Formats: sequence, structure tokens, C-alpha cells
Amino acid sequence: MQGRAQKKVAGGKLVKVWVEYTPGKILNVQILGDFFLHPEEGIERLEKSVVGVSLPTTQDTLATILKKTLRNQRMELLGAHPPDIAEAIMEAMVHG
Amino acid sequence: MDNETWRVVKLEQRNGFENMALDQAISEDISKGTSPPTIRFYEWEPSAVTIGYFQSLKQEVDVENCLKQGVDIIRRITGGGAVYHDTRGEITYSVIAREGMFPSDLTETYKRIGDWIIDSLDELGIVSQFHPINDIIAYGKKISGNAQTRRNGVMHQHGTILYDVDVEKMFSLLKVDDIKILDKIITSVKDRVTSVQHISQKSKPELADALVHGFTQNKQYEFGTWTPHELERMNELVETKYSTREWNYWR
Repeated sequence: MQGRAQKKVAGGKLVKVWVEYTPGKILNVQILGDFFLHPEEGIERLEKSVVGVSLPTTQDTLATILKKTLRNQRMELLGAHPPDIAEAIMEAMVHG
Repeated sequence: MDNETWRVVKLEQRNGFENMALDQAISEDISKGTSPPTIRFYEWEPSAVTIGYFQSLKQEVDVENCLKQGVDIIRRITGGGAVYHDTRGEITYSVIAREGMFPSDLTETYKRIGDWIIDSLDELGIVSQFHPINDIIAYGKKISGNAQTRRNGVMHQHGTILYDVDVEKMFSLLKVDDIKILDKIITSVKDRVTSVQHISQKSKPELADALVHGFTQNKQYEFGTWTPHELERMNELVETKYSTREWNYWR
């Protein structure tokens, strides 16, 4: 299954996600939008960090994984926050 | 901290692929220590749409209309949103220097360079303010958007100062999520975006001069041009990166 969702973040940036998933697992995620991530090449690592997560999951679980990846990889997200991305991923799997 | 001599390259016109490739070429040579910290001002000929590093080209840009109107499409190495760079309608700048010449904090750096833009606009009688994360606003409306990246010890920020805005043309080139409310979106953008010409009667050369003043005050600088190596690398990057489908349609 596939789903898309977007979330307007406080401050004006837009996070768009595309998620491919089965009933039991996230298979693929793409995080798009007009936010900033430093270094930019880290986006694929951030996306991969939520691939393989067992479903059902929660927004908090996904946000924690994203936060940990940012911290471990010394990446800085500007204009969006892990809970925003997590919320969009959850929404893509409910409504997408 | 700011005691290196800046190279300032006055307003020039290039196509979008060259503009983005030149930024990268300068950045690489500053990283190697073979180019000085650089401030450049430029226009896009032909007009172009750039998209942010993390955006999907197909989702953000009306490719067919761009082709019809002769507008180039290029992915930036910086984040941020899709921008229509009208040849007449704006001046773009790039500031490229060793990271140590700027605050380590990204937002502080946006603010520092934002101050140079604010001083430039002030010279034209336009009062503006920094609006986090990356905008400059005048009388409550956006007049400048900026984007920053850091690679290999180099801080690279580019941004546009709007001289004249054609919102209808902009939305014939950019996609909107809900075409049914396009009129509303256009009205809302007109309410949120302004330009030098909308506020003052200053000419574009006057804006170009004011930007040189605002960006160079309290700095050691000299006017300069590109090294043969920068130009050679620019051409190589146009061919191997910025004009390629792999790069522009990456997402």
C-alpha cells in the first residue's frame, strides 16, 4: 500500500511525505518539502531510519526514531521538527 | 574574524545551470584555499525556476509550461522552496566563505547576512526586518528569501531580492495543490509578497548599487572576477550535474 500526506509546519514550511507500507511494516518513505536539513545528504539516512518499523506504530515512536537519527548523525533540521514528519507519516498511512 | 579580503563580483547574467554550478565551483575552491571569500550578484537569463534540495520537481513545477515559456528548471543544493527567478524581476546574491567567518548557528548567519540586505534596502528608503527562519520582510510582506548550506568547511548562502513580481506568471510555472483555489492563492501571495518597485520608484541599477554598498560596508574588499579554474569547473558541473535529469528529477 502507498500513501501521501502533508503538514504545514508552524512558521510556514511544508513537509510532504510518501509512504509505502504493508499491514505489518513500513517499506519505504520519502520526506519532501521546503524545510532545511544540514547536511542535506542526510535526508536519505533520515528516511531509511523509519523503514522497517513494525506497524501499527505511534507518532511518538516515529518521532523518537527520527530525533535519535538526527542526534546520532549530527544533523540539524530547520523549519520542521521530528513530530511534524512523524505526524505526516502516520497520516499518510491512515488517509493516504 | 572578518579580516580577509572579500572578492565582490558585480551583477552579471548567466543561465540557471551556470549560476548554480558557479556557486558550487567557488565553494569547492574556497574549501581548497584557492579562492577568496566571495560575494556575487547575478540575474537569470533566461528566467528560471529553482526548487529546494528536498522538493519533488514534478510536484512543484509545471514542466510543460516552463518549456513553453523557455524557463529553465534547476534543483538547488540548498533547502527551501521553489522560486521563480524572473530575469527582470529580481537580483540574486551568493555569499560564499569559510565557515569560521560566520556564526556556527545557522539562524544567526541568516540574520547576519539579512542585516546586509536590510542595510541595502535602507539605502533605497525601504524599511525592512529579518523574519526567521530565512526571509526579509518590508511593511509586513516578503521582499527577500534566502537559503544556506555548509559543506567542507564552507558557508554558502544565496538569496533573492525582489525587484518586481509577476505573481500570475509565477503561478503559471509553479504547481499548486488545489487548482480550484488558484485565484485565492494568487491573491494571498500578492498580499504576502512585495518588491522594491512596488515600494519605491528606484531603478534596478540603483538596487544593484545599494546591494554592493550594503554587502561590503565595514569589510575589506575588491571587485574581481572568476578564475579560469572556477569557470572550467562551472562548465563541468553544468554538464555532469546541474543540467542532468538525474540531479533535477532526483525526487
